[in-house]
Amino acid sequence: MAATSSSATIAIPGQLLGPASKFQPGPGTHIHESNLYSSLLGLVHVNQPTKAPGPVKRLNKITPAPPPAELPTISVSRSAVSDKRETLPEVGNTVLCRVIRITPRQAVVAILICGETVLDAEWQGLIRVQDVRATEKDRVKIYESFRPGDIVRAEVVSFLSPTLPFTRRFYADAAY
Amino acid sequence: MASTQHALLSPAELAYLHASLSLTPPIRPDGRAANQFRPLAAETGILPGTNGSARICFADGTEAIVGVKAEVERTRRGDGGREDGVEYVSSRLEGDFVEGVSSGEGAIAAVDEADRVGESEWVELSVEIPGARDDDAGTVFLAAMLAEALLAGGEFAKKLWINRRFHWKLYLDILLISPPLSYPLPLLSLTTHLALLATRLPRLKSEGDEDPFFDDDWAAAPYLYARKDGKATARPPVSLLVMAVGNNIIFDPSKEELAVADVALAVSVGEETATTTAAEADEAQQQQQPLGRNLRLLSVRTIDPPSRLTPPGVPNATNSAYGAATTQKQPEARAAESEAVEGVWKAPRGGAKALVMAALVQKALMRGGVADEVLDALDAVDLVA
Amino acid sequence: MTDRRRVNGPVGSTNPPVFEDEPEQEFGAQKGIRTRTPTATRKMYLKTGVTPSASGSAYLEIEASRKGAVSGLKLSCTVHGPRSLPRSTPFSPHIILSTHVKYAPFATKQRRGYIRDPTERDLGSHLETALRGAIIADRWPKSGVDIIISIVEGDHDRETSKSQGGEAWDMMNALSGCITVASAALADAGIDCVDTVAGGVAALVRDEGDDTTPRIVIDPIPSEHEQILAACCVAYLPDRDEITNLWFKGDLPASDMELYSQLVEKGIQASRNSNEVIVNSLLISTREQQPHERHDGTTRMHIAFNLQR
Repeated sequence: MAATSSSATIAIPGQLLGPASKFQPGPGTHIHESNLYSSLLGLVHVNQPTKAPGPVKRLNKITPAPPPAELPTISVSRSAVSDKRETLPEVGNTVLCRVIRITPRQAVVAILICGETVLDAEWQGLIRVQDVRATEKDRVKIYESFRPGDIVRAEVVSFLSPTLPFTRRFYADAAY
Repeated sequence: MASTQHALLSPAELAYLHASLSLTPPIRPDGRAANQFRPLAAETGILPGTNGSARICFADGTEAIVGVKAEVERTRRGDGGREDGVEYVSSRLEGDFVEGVSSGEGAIAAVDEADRVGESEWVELSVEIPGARDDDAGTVFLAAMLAEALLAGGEFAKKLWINRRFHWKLYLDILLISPPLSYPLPLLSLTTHLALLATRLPRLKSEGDEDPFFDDDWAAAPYLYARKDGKATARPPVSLLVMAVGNNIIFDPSKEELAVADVALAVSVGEETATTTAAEADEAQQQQQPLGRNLRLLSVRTIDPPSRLTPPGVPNATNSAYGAATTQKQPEARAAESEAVEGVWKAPRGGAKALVMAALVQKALMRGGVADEVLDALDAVDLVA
Repeated sequence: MTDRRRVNGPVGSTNPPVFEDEPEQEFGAQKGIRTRTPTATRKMYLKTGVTPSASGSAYLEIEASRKGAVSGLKLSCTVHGPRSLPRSTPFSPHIILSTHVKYAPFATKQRRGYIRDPTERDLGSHLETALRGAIIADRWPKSGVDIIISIVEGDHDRETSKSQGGEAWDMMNALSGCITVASAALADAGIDCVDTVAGGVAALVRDEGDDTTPRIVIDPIPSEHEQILAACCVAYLPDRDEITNLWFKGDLPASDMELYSQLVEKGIQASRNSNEVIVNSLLISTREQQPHERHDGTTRMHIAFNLQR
């Protein structure tokens, strides 16, 4: 597991956190002129990397040349500062949602909880008929699977790109 | 707002455009030089029902017409707040009057015609952009910008003074009659400029503070901006659109160019008249010397560049289609924070350095600069009222 | 018996309240002459998290001038969001920012209606430009945020009966306050920003008596000066040393660019001062939130930063 060294430094937006060559940007930070700056008001956390670099770390890799997995990730979190924290559902998140409306092709859901966070605002998602289960996808009927009001645990599979037809909502893959 | 409407360009196109505009000298999509305006066709006096009108058509097909209408209005007591319509009592001490009202309008040269004071309420300027609501933020912003330049210094409002009890109320109606293919500020400003130059008000026959009475002969009507030998001695302001990309400063950007701007400014420039006397001007003309214009900076506004709302490109290093190592599970995970990669478009963040902003204004205003050129070009337009 | 049908007066005798007379002001004080140094901003009070129902909020108060009848500026800003966009909006890879600036009907000498007038819309677009540069918009795709500012009390001179044209210059002060308060509220709402943007105003003024030398002052109050020749309002990111919004208005000779640059420079200085207030206020409110550092007993904290330099 990653060793977490948390210092109670308060960062304000625009505060210099360190050079981009020494840290990897985590949530709540941004890069400007090869330096890492805070972009939120919150507490600074430095996460030391695990010895064996996991694939998740490599997502943040910028160039393939240096071994970036050695770098600690610096992030600014608001959890200690404010109990209100809006999060945006992201691909891979597990969400709890309530079915609002069903059509033969999809179920429209309202995402209530994303990961560990109870959301303030209501974000909408879609469960397409082909995403309801992994097998026998062509036999799935939405009205046999969901009823409006059902609470569904789902995984976010797509964060639609603007070229796809249903562009506004989060697709949620129902996982049973 | 009008400037932020999306130019439908892909990240690759944006990156290409940004790169070619950052070259020295910049290569613009339409082949213009950095400080070259789009060619335009202009005419004045197109609307017989107005006191002054103008039409300008840019080569890209955007077209605007401006009509100026004037009405005589009773001057209210200058307390701004109360609209009780109390007529100004002419027996009041003149000094008092000047003291009370002129100070606010910020007239610099108020000493000469100290008894004439204007108020900004005497000018009503409205802008109409097809497809945008009247109360759209962009439209309001444009109207405020044009009005601000016109009223700066308080000189313009003074021209509308008839006597202590009456003034002209000037309505400027600015209509964009083509769809807004580019940010319409330069077009609207130039058209307004011409329309005001062509504006004539009936000649006043009455004297003093009596009810105004005008000459019916339209041919005798003087121009709002007085002229000498067919040339206007004073001129309304013009607003120029300037943007910076990299180290380059580009004037009159098209919509596509604006979509990659680092910063865009609207600079309003007026021409000073008070200092050069008629004799000096004559002398300069006789000597065939280009009379240097005494330009004045009237207003600067930052235009929100639409580049901030452009879609970012994905560098190959993080693009799974190019063999970047991304997890199977998250093919569409949001792009991680990364440094700018050469050739990959990234919407600009933050603002612009103060020096860049100053350079933009400087370049517009300097002697023989773009503002000079534009005013010279507008001089060449025949004015028909 | 008590008469329950009527509202009776009190049984005993009462004394009508007697208010103290307003102190006699001498003519100089009446006119309102700037007593601060040219590089001093007025004191301001900024507090974040004042509206519990909003995602983020802030309240800004700028001290009234010495002259009794000139009220200070009081602004309240609420940030709602990020939240999902309504179904009808097209896809956006960025957060959609919408700014509303509204004067309360009683905020200025002239009553404002409930519908936003062009001045307020204009202020809204200036504010939008200023904030758009500060926000990292791609952190919140498909989302929208509403920034709503109500100007509870405008910076208006209530005593002068005559219009001085000061409203146009007051707008600059109001915008600068709007930028500062919105910046604090955005940080409170946890929306990613590159920096804490702050507003500042500088003006070229001519005072009574000295007609010859106009001088540059920061944070001007129109009624304190004989004439304002030009003014500029700057939205500035201090850590990045960048300007996100510049609004200049006035009448300056183009040959004297030095004067213009100085004006902008002073505007930046003013916004640095406001930024200091934002930073301190954010740090204090953050410390308050942290459970292990919470002081007890102090329910109300009054933070006033004196920026006299």
